[in-house]
Amino acid sequence: MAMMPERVKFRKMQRGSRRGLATSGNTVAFGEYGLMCLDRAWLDTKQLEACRVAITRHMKRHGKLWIRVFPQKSFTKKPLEVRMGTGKGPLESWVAVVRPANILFEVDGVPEPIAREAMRLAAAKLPIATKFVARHKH
Amino acid sequence: MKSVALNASVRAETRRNANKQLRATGRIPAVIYGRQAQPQSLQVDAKELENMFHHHVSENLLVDLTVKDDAKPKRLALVQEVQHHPLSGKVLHIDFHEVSETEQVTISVPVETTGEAAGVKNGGGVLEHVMFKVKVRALPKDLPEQLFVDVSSLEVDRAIHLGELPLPAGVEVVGNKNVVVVACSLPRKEEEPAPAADAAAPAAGDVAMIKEKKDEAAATAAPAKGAAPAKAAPAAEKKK
Repeated sequence: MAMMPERVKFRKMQRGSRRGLATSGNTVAFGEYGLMCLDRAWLDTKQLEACRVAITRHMKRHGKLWIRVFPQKSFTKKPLEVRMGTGKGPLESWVAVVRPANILFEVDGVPEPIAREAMRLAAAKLPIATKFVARHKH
Repeated sequence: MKSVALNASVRAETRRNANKQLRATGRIPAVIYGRQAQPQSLQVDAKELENMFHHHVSENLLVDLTVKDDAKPKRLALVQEVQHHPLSGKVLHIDFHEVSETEQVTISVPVETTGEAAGVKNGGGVLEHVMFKVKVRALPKDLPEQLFVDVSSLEVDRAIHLGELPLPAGVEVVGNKNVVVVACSLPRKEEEPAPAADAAAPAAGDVAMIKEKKDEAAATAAPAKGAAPAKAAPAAEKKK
């Protein structure tokens, strides 16, 4: 099931800015291990869903997974071969705006090698650089 | 908690740019405050600080501060807060809370689990760490660096509450004693959606709209004022 808001007040949004570092959602808050992004990007529903599937399949449905970002932002795109003007295009997808230091996923209840591999597989589905982080420094 | 020796010196420069320059020279800005004294800006050596944290499991430390060029050179303080850079993890700033040896203080202490829960080992459950920090009250010398909970006898659908935590002598927990700290529960089964269900996934534009309050107000007001819309309608026709 694709992640998107259930109800919104306004369907189409402005593009906004992605400057700065993440000031919230930048610590491992629920699980033991996490995936931190090192770049800024729009992560769309398909990418997040692909990550979720990769993590749950690798953990063989053991442990627990938290998805710390949600695609709250809609973006529009003009159809192909359409002249400019005549208003904003139709909705294309929903994206989560992520900044450096945002924690994207957290897992718990699995050993570190499994968590590390699950996060590596998830990171391969993303268009940005990420790093594996742990709550405890070893 | 054993006290750790740390050297500091008085910091005259404040503000953002001065602190940036200070960090570039290998010093970390700090502040000390407490009930007995006025807050004072300090600076500590970054390497000494990193070394201190590296040799301890938690950042909850009791520090024997030696402040250079100060009227009160020896101070006993707790590390109240450490600010880290979100990406690199480097220490940016440190808060010291000056305490008295004879006065009880309240601090948050990390809770760690030891052993493998019986529910996880045999019952296929998942250990849920609900509270990562608990507030405790004690004299500075009695304060624990962290608390350990043995979960090896924890079965599925059982929990360890705040009141059941093993505490060192002279330490008391602050807060509701019935709050769950660690629990063991069965994982929720997540069903993989069939490929047919994927095809029927909603398009990006299929999102419900929250109705505007204005529209609702207009809809409710219209029947109440029966005559008003009737007058408004001919006016609209005239305009056309």
